[in-house]
Amino acid sequence: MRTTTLENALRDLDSAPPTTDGRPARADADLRRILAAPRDSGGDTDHPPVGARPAVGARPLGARPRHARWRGGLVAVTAATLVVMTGVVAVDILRPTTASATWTPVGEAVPVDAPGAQQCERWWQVESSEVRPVLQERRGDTTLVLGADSDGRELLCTATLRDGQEPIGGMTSLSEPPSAQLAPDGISTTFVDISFEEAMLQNGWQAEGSTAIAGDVGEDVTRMVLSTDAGPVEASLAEGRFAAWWPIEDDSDPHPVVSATVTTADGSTRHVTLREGD
Amino acid sequence: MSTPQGPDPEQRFTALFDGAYVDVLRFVRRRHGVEGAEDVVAEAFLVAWRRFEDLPEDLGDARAWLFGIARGTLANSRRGDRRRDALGVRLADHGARAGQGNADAVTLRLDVGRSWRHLSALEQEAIALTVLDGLTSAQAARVLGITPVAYRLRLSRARRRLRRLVEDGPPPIPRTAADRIARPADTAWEATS
Repeated sequence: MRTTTLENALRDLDSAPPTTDGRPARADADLRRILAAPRDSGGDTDHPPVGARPAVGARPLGARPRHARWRGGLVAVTAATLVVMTGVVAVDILRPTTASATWTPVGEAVPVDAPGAQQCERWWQVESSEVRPVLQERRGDTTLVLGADSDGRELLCTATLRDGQEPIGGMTSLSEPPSAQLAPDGISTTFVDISFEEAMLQNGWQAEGSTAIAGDVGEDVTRMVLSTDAGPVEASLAEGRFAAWWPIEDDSDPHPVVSATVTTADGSTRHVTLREGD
Repeated sequence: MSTPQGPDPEQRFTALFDGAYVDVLRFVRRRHGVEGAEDVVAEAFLVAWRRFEDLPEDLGDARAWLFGIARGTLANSRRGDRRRDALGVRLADHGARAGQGNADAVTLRLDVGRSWRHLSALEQEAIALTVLDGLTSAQAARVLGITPVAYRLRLSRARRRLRRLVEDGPPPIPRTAADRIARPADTAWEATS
């Protein structure tokens, strides 16, 4: 069904449609009363001044639960759907180059002052100014950054930067601190986040998405290769953490099984399940 | 387009009041109903006057700024923790307009009206800001105090849900309002821009 068709029906059902009645009689009196009131620079309403919020975060104004996190399995799964749509026309604009188009199965380590890493740092200042990047990697034009604070709480962020376009990305909330010390060959998955995009184009609905994963590894872990629908994906390792992301074609499975082949310092490998399916 | 500039704040504010009053009133009525709506609008403009220094120059942005203040005024009238919840948006009774248009249009309005009630307040609000209030994504984001990308995320998710509800038919047993607000899967991954 076309978006415009639905939206036209909605407009037909507008509970406050345009009228020719003009302003109510009391409006002029209200204006005089308002203008007689003193102006100030703040006001006592708790509505934030427009533009006062940092340019970060899709926090709903409603009281929301912290996002689901399965520390029992040492895995958190979250899901979201991102649709890039504009206005009321049926043809929406999906960015011509997508993150998936430039994705690579092996990430490139980037310094903390790489543009994508700096972008993530700016975003997560809203969440916490104590978080510092501990792992930064880039796959195509998307930079993934895992941050941690001194208590061991972690935060995962991705930023996609393209010339001439405003940055886009996503960010988790801070995780809880780890509850136990990892064994030297241990692995603890903190985040498994699914992001999905859908847009109406001239030739129909187009969609793309990604799964991002991150967590902690013991000091003996030297390599992790994830088994994914996108093929083998090598996780980036740094400072006792791991992280990776890969494209997905649909979001039909919000709780995917994620497994990996792990190599340790003695050269041995083993297969581990990072996230059990539901 | 911009709000009239000049040294006289009263002149500027009066022009804004004249140009935006009806739009703000409609915005409030969609969320609050007719009764008491004019009181809410008056309160919103009073807050706007007190915070005149924050008035955006662009008229469209100023209108969105007023909507945001009106939304805050409505939210403040709520009690306790619910006062920061999204504001659900009312639609007209689809039966009242059943006779308008061809049979397909009438059927669609019925389906949309039924499906609308199954959207969460968050979803209703996201769609209404664009479709009914006529805001751009950037302006709607300002109303909600979020980024444009975050708003587009919310909007597109809401559109998709409405479309599927209309196509598949709403579930037989509506979920409770509490169930329909801020489910974890809807809120965990925060889009940023």
